[in-house]
Amino acid sequence: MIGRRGASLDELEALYRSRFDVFARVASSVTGDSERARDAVQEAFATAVRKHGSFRGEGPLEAWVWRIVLNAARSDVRRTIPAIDYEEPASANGQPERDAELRVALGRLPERQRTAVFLRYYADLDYAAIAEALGISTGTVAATLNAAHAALRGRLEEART
Amino acid sequence: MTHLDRASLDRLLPATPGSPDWDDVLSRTGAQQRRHRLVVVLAAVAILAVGTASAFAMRAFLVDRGFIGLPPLGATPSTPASGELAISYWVGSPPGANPGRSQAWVYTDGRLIWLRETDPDRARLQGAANRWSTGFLEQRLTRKGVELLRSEIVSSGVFGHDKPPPGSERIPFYTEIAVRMGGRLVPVRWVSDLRSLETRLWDPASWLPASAWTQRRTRAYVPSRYQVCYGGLPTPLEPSRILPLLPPAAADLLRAKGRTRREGRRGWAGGPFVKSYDYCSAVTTREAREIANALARAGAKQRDPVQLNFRVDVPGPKVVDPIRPDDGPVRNTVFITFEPLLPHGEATCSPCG
Repeated sequence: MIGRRGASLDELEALYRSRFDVFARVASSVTGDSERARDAVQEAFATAVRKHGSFRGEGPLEAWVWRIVLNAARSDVRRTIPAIDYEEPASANGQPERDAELRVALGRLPERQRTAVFLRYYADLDYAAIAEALGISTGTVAATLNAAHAALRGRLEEART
Repeated sequence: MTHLDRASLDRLLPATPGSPDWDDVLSRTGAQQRRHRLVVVLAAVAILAVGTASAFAMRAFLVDRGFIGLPPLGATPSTPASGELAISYWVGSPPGANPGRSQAWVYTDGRLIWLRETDPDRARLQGAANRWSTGFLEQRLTRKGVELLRSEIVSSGVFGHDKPPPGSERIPFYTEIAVRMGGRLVPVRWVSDLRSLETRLWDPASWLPASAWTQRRTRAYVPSRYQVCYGGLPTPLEPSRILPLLPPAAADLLRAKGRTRREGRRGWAGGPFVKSYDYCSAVTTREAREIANALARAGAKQRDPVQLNFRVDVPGPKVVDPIRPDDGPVRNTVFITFEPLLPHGEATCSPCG
């Protein structure tokens, strides 16, 4: 693919407005706190605005921004003690027990596997975009998701026996 | 693995606090830039004068080059936001200059805002927004500079006559010059030497003394507000027909705004002419950007190199354009145009030059 140089600020703003909620909520799976996730997203887009000229266009703009957002969220985690509590009961939504099991199972996944799951099934990114966002190869994405599936399946079955 | 669907994950993730705030993103950018700039300045203090560093910091907020449509993000708007018009003119290029048209507005606060367009096949504009247009540019005159420019027009103009007095020439319909006299803008209809006056108005910097300027260097005019107009073409349409065709984010913003109906005629030299109308709303620059972004995301394309505008097809039967009947039925379209609102509250027509 022949890349282009730079992302326009209008493109970044449009991406921000249309996907803010997805960025912030997936970031919260890293930070464990929605306020800090929001802050990470704001900082990440500020970084993207400052560095928009360095986007090389070798993949989707969104994947490039995801990488910045996840880095910002991870930096936040490194600076603070994660407040995430995957053992808490799920909110009342009609499926509390099943959600609680999934919450715990996801919480026990390694961070990369958990993030890959959210990027694939919540943010709806394809493998190439996940690879760009996580800084890994497409093959590694497939392997990471397979490992996550296996771990989740095992833990959910274990919880029901 | 039935649990790994979006709805399940959605229930697990905490709700996002607050709504998107792009201004906050931009302010963080500024903060980071200011922090970065501080480091640069501290390092530079050892070898450079503080004044040099301060000048560098100021330039970062201004836009040196004209632009078409919306300003670059973070650009500082021209101040004050409103102003009283002292002079306005729209003149053609004098002999020897690049062919084109120049519109200008001079305010009592000293601002000279102007726009020049040319035929890119015949001339090249220096430092322009693109090959066709300079975009809106701004310079600043002293009080004396405004008075010198005004005197030039008043001394050449012939006022108080219904018919052209001997020794004067009528200003052609495609040239407009108006000057504030007695508390109102008075159009100049006859002048003693049109060519000389047009030459001086075309390029005031070529003859006004240095003392006439507080800012001779041109910068982009960055407006605080825009006029967004929308209508049907070739068949005019009412807002109730237009707004549902626009993306919801754009339609909701425009629906919430007051609007004025703008009537005019459309046609070619030699006719035929047909009555036409559209609707215009004043919006902030931020709102204009939201509308433009929504239209762009919906696939509407910018159609003009000298103005930000979009077209959206109107579903239904095709229509015959009364000024181009030989073309047969054509798709009716909604056009949406964006023009900067000038400090005196009016917008111009950029593609009309």
